[in-house]
Amino acid sequence: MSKETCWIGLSLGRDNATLSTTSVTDNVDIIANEDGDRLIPVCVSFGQQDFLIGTQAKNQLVFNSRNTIQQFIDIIGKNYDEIENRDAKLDENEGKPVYNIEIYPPYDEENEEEEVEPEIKQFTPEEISIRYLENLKKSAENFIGKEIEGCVVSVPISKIQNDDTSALKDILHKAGFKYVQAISEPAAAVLAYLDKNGEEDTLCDKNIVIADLGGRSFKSCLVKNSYGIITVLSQEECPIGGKDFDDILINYFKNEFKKKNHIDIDDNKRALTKLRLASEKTKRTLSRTSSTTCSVDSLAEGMDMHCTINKMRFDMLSNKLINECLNTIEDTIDNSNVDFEEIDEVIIIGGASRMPKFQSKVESLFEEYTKIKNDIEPDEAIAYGCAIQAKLLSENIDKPEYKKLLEDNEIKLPHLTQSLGIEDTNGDFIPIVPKNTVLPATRFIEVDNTNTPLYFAFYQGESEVASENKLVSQVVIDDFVIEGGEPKEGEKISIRINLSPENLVINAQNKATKQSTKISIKI
Amino acid sequence: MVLSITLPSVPDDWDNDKSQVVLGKLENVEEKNVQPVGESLFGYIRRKKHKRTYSEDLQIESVLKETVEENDNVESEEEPDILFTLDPKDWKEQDHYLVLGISSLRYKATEEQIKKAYRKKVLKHHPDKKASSGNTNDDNFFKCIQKAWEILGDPVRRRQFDSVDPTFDEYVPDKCDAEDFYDEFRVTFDNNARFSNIQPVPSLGDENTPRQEVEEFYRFWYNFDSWRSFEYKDEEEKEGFENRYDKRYYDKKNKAARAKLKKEDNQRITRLVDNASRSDPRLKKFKNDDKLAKEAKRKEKEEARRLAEEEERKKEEAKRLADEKEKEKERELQNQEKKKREQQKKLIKKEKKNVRNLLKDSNYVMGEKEATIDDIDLQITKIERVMDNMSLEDLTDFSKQFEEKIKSNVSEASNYLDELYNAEVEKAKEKEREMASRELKIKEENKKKTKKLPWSVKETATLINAIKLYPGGATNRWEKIAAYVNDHGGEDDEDERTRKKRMRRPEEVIKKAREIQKISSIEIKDAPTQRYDSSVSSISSIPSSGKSSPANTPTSAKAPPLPWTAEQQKLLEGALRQYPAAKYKANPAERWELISKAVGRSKRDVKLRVKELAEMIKRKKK
Repeated sequence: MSKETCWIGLSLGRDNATLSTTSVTDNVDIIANEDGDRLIPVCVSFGQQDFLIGTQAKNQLVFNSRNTIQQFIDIIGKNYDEIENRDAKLDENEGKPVYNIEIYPPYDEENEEEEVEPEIKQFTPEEISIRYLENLKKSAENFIGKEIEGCVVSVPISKIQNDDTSALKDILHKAGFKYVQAISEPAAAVLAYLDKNGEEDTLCDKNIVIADLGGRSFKSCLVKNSYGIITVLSQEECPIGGKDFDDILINYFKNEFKKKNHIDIDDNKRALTKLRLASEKTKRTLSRTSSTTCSVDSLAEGMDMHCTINKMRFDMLSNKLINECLNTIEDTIDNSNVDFEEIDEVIIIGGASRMPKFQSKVESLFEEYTKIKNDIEPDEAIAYGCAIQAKLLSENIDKPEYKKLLEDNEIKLPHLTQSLGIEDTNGDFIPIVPKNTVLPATRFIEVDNTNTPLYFAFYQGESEVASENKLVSQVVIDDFVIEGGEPKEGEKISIRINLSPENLVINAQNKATKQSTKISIKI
Repeated sequence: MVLSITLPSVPDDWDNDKSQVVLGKLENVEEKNVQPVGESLFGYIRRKKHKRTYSEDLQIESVLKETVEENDNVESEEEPDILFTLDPKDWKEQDHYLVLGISSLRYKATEEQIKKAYRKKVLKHHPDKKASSGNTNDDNFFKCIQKAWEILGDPVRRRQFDSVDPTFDEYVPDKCDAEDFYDEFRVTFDNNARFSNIQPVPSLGDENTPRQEVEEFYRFWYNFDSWRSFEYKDEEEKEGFENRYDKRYYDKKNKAARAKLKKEDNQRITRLVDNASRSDPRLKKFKNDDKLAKEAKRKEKEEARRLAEEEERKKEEAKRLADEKEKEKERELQNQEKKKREQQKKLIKKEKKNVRNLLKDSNYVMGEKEATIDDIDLQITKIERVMDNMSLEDLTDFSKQFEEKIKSNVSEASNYLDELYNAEVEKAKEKEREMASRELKIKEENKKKTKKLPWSVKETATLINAIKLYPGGATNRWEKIAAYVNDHGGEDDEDERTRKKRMRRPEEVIKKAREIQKISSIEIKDAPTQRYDSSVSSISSIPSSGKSSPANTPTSAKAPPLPWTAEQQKLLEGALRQYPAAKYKANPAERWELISKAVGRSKRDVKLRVKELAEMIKRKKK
């Protein structure tokens, strides 16, 4: 086999990881691991002799809960004191968190009767993460059949903005990835939809809201797409995630069980874990059916649990949580210079966003013309975007200007924060370069003025009436006027406007005759 | 989707010399963070790095991305070192074909070849490639490649460059000798052929080229349609003038310069063709040929005319001779006949003399009796008369018989003469009588002809019917009408003889019909208010207005019907309505009886009247 290498995309959430690639087919493929899982739980489990990850490890939560660990990636690079929600297995070692794992020695037939004492071993979260990621890399290489050279990993936008990605990049390097780029989750989601819908969606100016309802939190982010370049304008987060919707069900079932059997399972950790797994499934089922039954054999004291719940009740119980998500979206938009009416698209991602109630409520928050985009699997959208970016980088990694991107979490570029546009024949203001567009920007329009001088009045502002904005410059182009010529029906002149912070260049071309002219203005 | 809008018109107070006014600075430009993802951002970085514009970049990238099969039909040319010292700013002075490595093809290169050459150069000289191979980051040459493509890739701009291609030879050979002609001019014509709007251009050919082709060649070149233009030599790029006045000034200047160059070039071509046509040995030969041909033609014509004249002369001569012969013949024939006649006359004379002598010798057949002068005279008259109308044969016959009779018996001869004389006299008389009787006969005949039967009322009515029955335009109309009148015009009790007498010929029928028409139309005109009655009376008056005695005709016996009064007319109309024809289909006679009773007139009158009315209505409709 040749030493062909490739890149993968990696969406690394708090609970689940998703791998993606473009190396198998020309399109994006989500990589399934050896268990056939596309969504690989972030979970490891130390057995007597073996080390398990993913679904297999998650299954050990009930039987081997003491040696099964979740959410370890979250705490890498953190001091012990910084960690909220400490795991029971977590200990402190010189201010840093460590996991105490009991490792049993291999089973010995001779000393069958002897009580074997487990050996306590300490692992740092980094060590565990590296072992987990090494496993993922191996799965991906098996899937693709090529050696993996680099990866594009998604992280929450807050980490990108706080430049808090070095620890993660570090462990990825240690796990065997030569190149690592960390990109923000909303950027990856936008990228996924841009790729899916092609040039038509890319080459335009749009304000996009990304609503990401994940396992542990809801993240709302407003971005500007200026011809494919993504600028994050504002973002908000609230600690409501899929888990909270699970909790609603758990509480409901717990109380029902209590009512029926007079057994309180509040302190029964094993029972609660069982109920949590069952509730998660019930929640997913409710996204598709109007009513379902949650069953757990021998939940506590040998009693089984069977409890029916319908969608309406669940919607009612979850209403408060969803409203909080909507408030977060509103805050996001309020914190930007964009109005609700100016939102062109809403992208809904995150596993928990599958809940129909959530989708419909988000939709009703926006104007009718705002497009709701949810046709990529919400779990996989971010991984999809990572794969696109991975492909792009793998093709250009030999060029220093792109290699540099691996270090920069964000790039500072000049933006126009107030729209620049022209006046049309009705006196309306037509934005050509809308606010929040990256400069220099090239935009295209067509004018149908035939055989008359072209008069451009450039205004800057946000009012729909041209004269209420600030007049910046006036330009007249009369190259296409033929003396004594008749105006031709349907004749159009295509205009290319290039705006940089220093000047404005207008290129005009008569589509029929190909005659063209150029005018440059220093502003 | 590209936004399509309509711009407002230029404000009234706009200063026409200006093309732009800047009133304020662009404000609100801030640094913001973008996400380092996506193709567009990569493009942004690339454009910034190579200082390319959006469209330039788009174009280079599309070339790089294109996966073209590398079938090398364009040979790679060496890249002289001088290429790498080119300054993209001096693009006007550069040989763009050389830059793209197709200097051997030049204007002959196809669009495909240019594109391929450009692609190859881009792949080879892309700044990224150079950077990765440790080359200097000087991308001047790449910019030159870009410029070369910008010009050669655009058909219009390529022609502008081809027009002023520095390698083009403007040389026009002078007049030269015949043996150098093809060498001198062929290359020049082939060189200039590239500028022709019409392709392919006819070739100069050689000494064996047919005349038609040579002439076509010169016609083509004298009307040479060239696309050569001189925009490339414009002094200043017309883009980017802040002042429209300046712009117009340069536009004008450039336009004038271009026109001048174009004119010069056209003159150059004309000079070339002039020189060529003056030196072309073939044209000389053609001219000579023409002269010879003309001379030959002239001679030929003369000869032909001479021959024709001769021919004509000969023909006339022959005709004349033939005519003469004919006349001769005729004359001879006439002479012969004359002779014959004269001979006959002579013979008759002789015979007559003979008879006269016989008569004289026989004492005028008076026998023994002394002949008196009167007797002699009478006898001579007799014999002359007898002989007068005799032919030669009769005369000889007569003389023989007469002689014999004289010889045998003089009195017999005398009787014979008398007999013949009397016969002759009788013949003359007979003739006279015949004439008289023929004259009489003719007179009789004429009398008979005019003495035809007059038209009876019934006949006239039948004629009117027949006219209706066979309207104008029918074949043999009048013959048919006449036959009809002959068949149906007679009275019921008519016998065979009167019928034959009554027979009318078509001419008569026509005459009668005209007569009827005239009378009726006049009367209608005279008394339009009483036209029913008058039209009836016109018909009834026909017999009386006939030529000969009406008293002899059978119809005259019957009195003409009385004219209809207005009251009677009214009654008739009412009766007709009261007794409709449909009701009395089985027995129409009864109907007529009833009607006639109601009106108070005879059945026949009523019938006639109704018929008349029907005709009137029909006529009116027409």
